[in-house]
Amino acid sequence: MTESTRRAVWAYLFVSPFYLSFLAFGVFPIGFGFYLAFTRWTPDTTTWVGLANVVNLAQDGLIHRALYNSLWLMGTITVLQMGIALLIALALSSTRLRGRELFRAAFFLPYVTSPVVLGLLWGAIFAYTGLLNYALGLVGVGPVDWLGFVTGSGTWIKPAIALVTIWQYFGWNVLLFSAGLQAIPREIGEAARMDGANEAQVLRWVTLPLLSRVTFFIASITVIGSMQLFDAPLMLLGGVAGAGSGTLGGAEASGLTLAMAIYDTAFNYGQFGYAAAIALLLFGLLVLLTTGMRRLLFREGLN
Amino acid sequence: MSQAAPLSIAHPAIRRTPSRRPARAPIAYALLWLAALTAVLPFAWQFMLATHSTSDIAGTTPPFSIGGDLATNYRALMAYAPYFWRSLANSAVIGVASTAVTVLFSALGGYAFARYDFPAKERLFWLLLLTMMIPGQLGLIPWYIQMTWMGWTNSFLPFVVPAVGNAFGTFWMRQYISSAISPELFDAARMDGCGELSTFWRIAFPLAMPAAATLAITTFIAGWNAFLGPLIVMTDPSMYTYAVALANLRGVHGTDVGALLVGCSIATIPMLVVTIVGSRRLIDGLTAGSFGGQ
Repeated sequence: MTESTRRAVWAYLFVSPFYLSFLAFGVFPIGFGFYLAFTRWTPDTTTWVGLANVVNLAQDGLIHRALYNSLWLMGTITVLQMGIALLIALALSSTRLRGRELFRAAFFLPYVTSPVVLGLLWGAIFAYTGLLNYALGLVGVGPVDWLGFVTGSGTWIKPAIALVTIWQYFGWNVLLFSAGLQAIPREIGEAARMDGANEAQVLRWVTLPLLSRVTFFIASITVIGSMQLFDAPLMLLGGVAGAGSGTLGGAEASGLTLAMAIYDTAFNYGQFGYAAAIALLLFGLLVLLTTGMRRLLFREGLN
Repeated sequence: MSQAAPLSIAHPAIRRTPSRRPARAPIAYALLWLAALTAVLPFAWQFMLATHSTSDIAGTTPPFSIGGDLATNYRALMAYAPYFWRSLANSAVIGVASTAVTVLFSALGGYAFARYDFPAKERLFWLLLLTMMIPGQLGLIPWYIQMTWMGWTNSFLPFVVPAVGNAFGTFWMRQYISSAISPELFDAARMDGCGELSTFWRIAFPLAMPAAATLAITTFIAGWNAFLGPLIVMTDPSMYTYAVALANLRGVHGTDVGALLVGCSIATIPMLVVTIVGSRRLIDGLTAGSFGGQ
């Protein structure tokens, strides 16, 4: 055996655990999932039903509701969260700032906390007699039935979910934007100012274009993450106890996300094949959204 | 959401040249303080509410001071969920075991990609990057069915064995080993008669510790917070993770909020410690690595 063959064998040995595990727990479930989406599956029998699940999907009002909710949350969260995070990152990048480490640690705390805990905690804050309504009452607003438990109206459920999610993840986006801002040489901005550009123009024509890779990365993880919300809305709206009773998504199913619908369909109604079809829909949407975003952000050929 | 895409912004040395611009300090400070307080106050609120009875919490004016019902709430928590401490231990087991497996195998695979030439290397690496783009929800249903077939329900195996194939971890370790460790070191080790495995174990792995530490903290956080996976494969309450245990305490009606928030508070403390002790190195490691800088 030659030296290079011998080394290649070692290299294959070193990378093989990854690919074996990936085959068993990555490729197989996904391939099986595509198959499941066209079956009616029970632990005992699997029946090929062709496009029946897809036809159901096209007619299922509750899934359309969940789709709308997920898209609403995705759009709202992505825009607000990234806007807020960019603003804070710009503040964090200003020169001669004291306590930068302290701020960063504070922003990081919600990000590392379990969404289950956060959903439960914010459930107490959003309660009809909770902190938020108390604070709003002090300025003469409300009370607002955030979670729809009192009036049975789901009007404020999605804004409440968006608020918790933005609160949890804005800090992470701040840290990523900060890293991107640090990578921009200060001289470029200085040069633009010398040429008479004001701060807003520097931001629009120098800083933002140079941030587009970072922005794409943050937008991708935010879109992918917010399309798959599960833990926090589940906890806000009644926890696993609400599962299977048709109340999983709160009043008027206003907080039902696609991920919650997948979980409920499979594990409370036992429709595994149909749940796999919903998962396929979610997957297709994510592929569309991320490729669309890449086109949008890089259309000017900045990279 | 901590997965990093393979971006490649060059990360130039941070310039410390003094700026002649006036610092926009007052507005910046106001904004940062507002954001920091918003991030932290709900946690303070959680710890404070944990000392109040559920009826106090539900009163028309929420409590604004430390109450005297912590012990009562704790006893209620233990009555509703006698397995609560066990569930914290389960979360710790999943966190520690998945972290050990992930770090070891990611370093091994990353080392191979960084230091060896082998047929189809580029294609295999491209496949690895592709797997990072696949959302978890897609495989959830089939993954569950697979776990029941393998008899892995009510066991830690579903959270430990697949940790061998961590695409992000392997990518992460490869980036670090190929850019931060000098190839001469490996050649020298080989000259001295070090075998392939011991070169990895004695040279590459110890030197890759900075990247391994960041990977370890993120993997531990994910394992510690595991919820959806355990929710579907753990049916025996003694195998619940703390997140599943807490989720089961939440009823549609008649939740004992005080007891629940004691549980939430206990579960928050480890992450509070992680943040205070490790946030600086974790944030620097993660954000630098996310953009391919070192």
